Amino acid sequence: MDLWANISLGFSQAISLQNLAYCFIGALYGTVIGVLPGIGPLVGISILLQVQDEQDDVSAVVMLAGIYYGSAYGGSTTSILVNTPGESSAVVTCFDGYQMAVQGRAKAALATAAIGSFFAGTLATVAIMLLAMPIARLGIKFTPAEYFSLLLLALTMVSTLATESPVKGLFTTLVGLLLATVGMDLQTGRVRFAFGSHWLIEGVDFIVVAIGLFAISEVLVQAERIQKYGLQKREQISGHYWITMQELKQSFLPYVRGTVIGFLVGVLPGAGSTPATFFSYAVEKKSSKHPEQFGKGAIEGVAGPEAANNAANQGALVPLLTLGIPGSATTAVMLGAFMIYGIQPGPLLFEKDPAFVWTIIASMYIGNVILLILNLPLVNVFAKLLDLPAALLFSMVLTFCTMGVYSIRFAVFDVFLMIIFGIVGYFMRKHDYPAAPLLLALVLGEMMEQGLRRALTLSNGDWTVFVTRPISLGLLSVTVLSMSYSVIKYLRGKKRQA
Amino acid sequence: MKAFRNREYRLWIVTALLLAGIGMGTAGSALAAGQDYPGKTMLMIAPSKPGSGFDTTMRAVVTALTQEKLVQVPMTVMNMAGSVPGTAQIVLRYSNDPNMIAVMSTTGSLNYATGLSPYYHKDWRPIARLISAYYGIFVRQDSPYKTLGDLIKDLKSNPGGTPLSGGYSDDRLCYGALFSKAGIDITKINYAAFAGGVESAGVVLEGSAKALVSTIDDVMGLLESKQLRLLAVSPGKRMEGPLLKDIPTFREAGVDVEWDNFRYILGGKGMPDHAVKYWRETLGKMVKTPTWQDMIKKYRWGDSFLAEGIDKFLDEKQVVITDVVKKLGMDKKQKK
Repeated sequence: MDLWANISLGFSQAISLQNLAYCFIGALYGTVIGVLPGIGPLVGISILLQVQDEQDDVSAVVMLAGIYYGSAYGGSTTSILVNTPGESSAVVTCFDGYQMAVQGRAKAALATAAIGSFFAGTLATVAIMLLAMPIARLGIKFTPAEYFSLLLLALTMVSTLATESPVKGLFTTLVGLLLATVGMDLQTGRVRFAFGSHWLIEGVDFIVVAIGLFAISEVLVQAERIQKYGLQKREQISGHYWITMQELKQSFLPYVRGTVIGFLVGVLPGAGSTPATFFSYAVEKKSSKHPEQFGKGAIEGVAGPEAANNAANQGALVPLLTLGIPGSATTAVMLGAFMIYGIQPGPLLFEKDPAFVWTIIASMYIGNVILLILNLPLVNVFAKLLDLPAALLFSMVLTFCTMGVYSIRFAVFDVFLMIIFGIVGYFMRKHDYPAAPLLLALVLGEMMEQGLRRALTLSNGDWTVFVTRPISLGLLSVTVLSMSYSVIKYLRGKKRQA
Repeated sequence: MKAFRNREYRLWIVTALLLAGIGMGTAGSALAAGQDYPGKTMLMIAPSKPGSGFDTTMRAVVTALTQEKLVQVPMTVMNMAGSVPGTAQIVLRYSNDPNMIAVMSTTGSLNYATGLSPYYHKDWRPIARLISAYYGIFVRQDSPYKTLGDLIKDLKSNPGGTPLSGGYSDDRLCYGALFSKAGIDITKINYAAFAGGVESAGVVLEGSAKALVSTIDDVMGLLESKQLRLLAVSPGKRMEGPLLKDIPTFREAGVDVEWDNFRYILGGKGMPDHAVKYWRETLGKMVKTPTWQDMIKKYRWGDSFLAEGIDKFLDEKQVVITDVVKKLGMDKKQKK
């Protein structure tokens, strides 16, 4: 069969000593930039574009791919250890990952993240291999109308997650949507709510808000604790448990669901891995038998989103390789890199340059194995960080966050924004306002609004477009069902209390 | 006593060294003012995200200059996301720094015309235009439109039912220039704006949008695979290459417009003449090197080097672009 010929061709190329070395360097470098807050794969890949002139094309792209999926492994590390998301797609991992670390289960959280990433990365690579073309064709069916309906579903799922107080969840969702309207509207080219500041023309950066709400507010909480109880070692965490069989079992179904969700969302151009992680988290919480544990250190809340993140990253390669349409900012850089090496991604790539495509695909299998081998021992090293005195550890967090946020575009403005959101986040925590709906609304708000506007532009202002297109209608129906389910559950709960 | 003398002796040496240092420093900076330019690290600003057009252009320039050994000092590319904040930083922070150059494009003139940015090419020192990208009007392979005229006819008779898609920035300028010249009231056309040309291709492939406005290099893969068909191209004369040589220009298709997205290198407003001269000469040499020629071929950029006369070119372009922006209803006055 053709497939086997192709895949063995790919492996025969990828397994050369040189390519293995580049794959390893890429994976290692990717892990490191993933760990550093603010510095994402986007910056990492583009810095590297400058230095690689000597290698041949295939090795260079193998290394780029290594950085690309390597960074998806690293992003969760600081989320788990110090509540600091390394990139936007690692925000969700903060919810339960950090709680696990606080309970002394940091190693279990890091391990399930690494294993989940490996699982999803490998499975998604199989999916690319077998399904790239048909899936890309399905992706095209997603017009702005479907995007809008899908994002509406995502938003309602997550904002109803705050089961304790739906009104607080709704409130922070709306704050997030409001923040998402800041900046330029693509359809008219007009700028909104910038108040004359040119820094706000591009909108409020999601990762700046996320670092503020999670990392900076955590620094404040720790500072308050030190103030109260004196400068002592962080409460000695009751032993460092390695991941148990029971926890692995609990993680397995979330891995599978996360992979499927992540891959499907990742394939949609423009969606990216961040919404995929939120989606997976919502699904895990809804399908869990003990939803009350979510946000308090449920391992499923780490396993699912981490798998979804990696699968979405791989999925984003599908429209890139098959149509030449970059699904995210990072794949846009990859597209640029491909062009430097004279490779034109598009429907003909698989026919015209099979050696290239299949070598990349083969290198993904190898890269995922390398990353697992690399990351599992690192779990012990990273977990050691928690033995540092809190005062030292969280000063480091503050330093790295400031540097990372400043380096995004060399704007002190962003640093102030981060601090403001840190203070806001501190008070939100004190008064039990959930941060997740705010962040999801911020990341999805712009896409959702543009989806709505584009859909109406294309339909010449006809609102029925959302219900006459079958996929959109289906998504809207699920939205209505999910919302009414939540309302009924809430009302029943009220009645029982009364 | 001996110890004291020793210490004094040492102090004298240090003083002498300090003096020598100061002398060398002064001489060094005196040299830097003239023939020794650039003398120290050059800061190369790409006022957009990594991977964007600005970024790729600047990095290509650095690669060519380094590999061809045309510039001896280190060059650092710095990304400043956003063309509006980027140009503001260039004007406010680097106007008097002779060791900063940056890249700009049609976008700079567009931002000024829409009132997004208070700064334009007179607030910095244009050095040389390097490259141009050309646009095309694309339809799906099975589209009933065979010529640009067919599309224009439908846009005139049924503007609401003939939606288009394209990028929100420079693509929209080309769209405005072309269809307003064709005698259509462009405020009546439904134009769905996306982040860029290739991102807007999806809705054309799906069928929701009837035609796509994009730079040609952006969607080359879809053209090669015959998923998209090209109706007309924007340059003044026909383009080269097997897929492009038979495609009529806008003018040949009956609309008297030529359009491109040009990218140029600029320095700060206060950049001294000798530095401007240095860069015009250096870039002039660079565009002829095989490294550069090879790179623009790979990126499918059009070679359009222009150094002397770039100010006049930008003056004229600003007038045209301001006019198109007005017709698009995107100028400041029409703010509602």
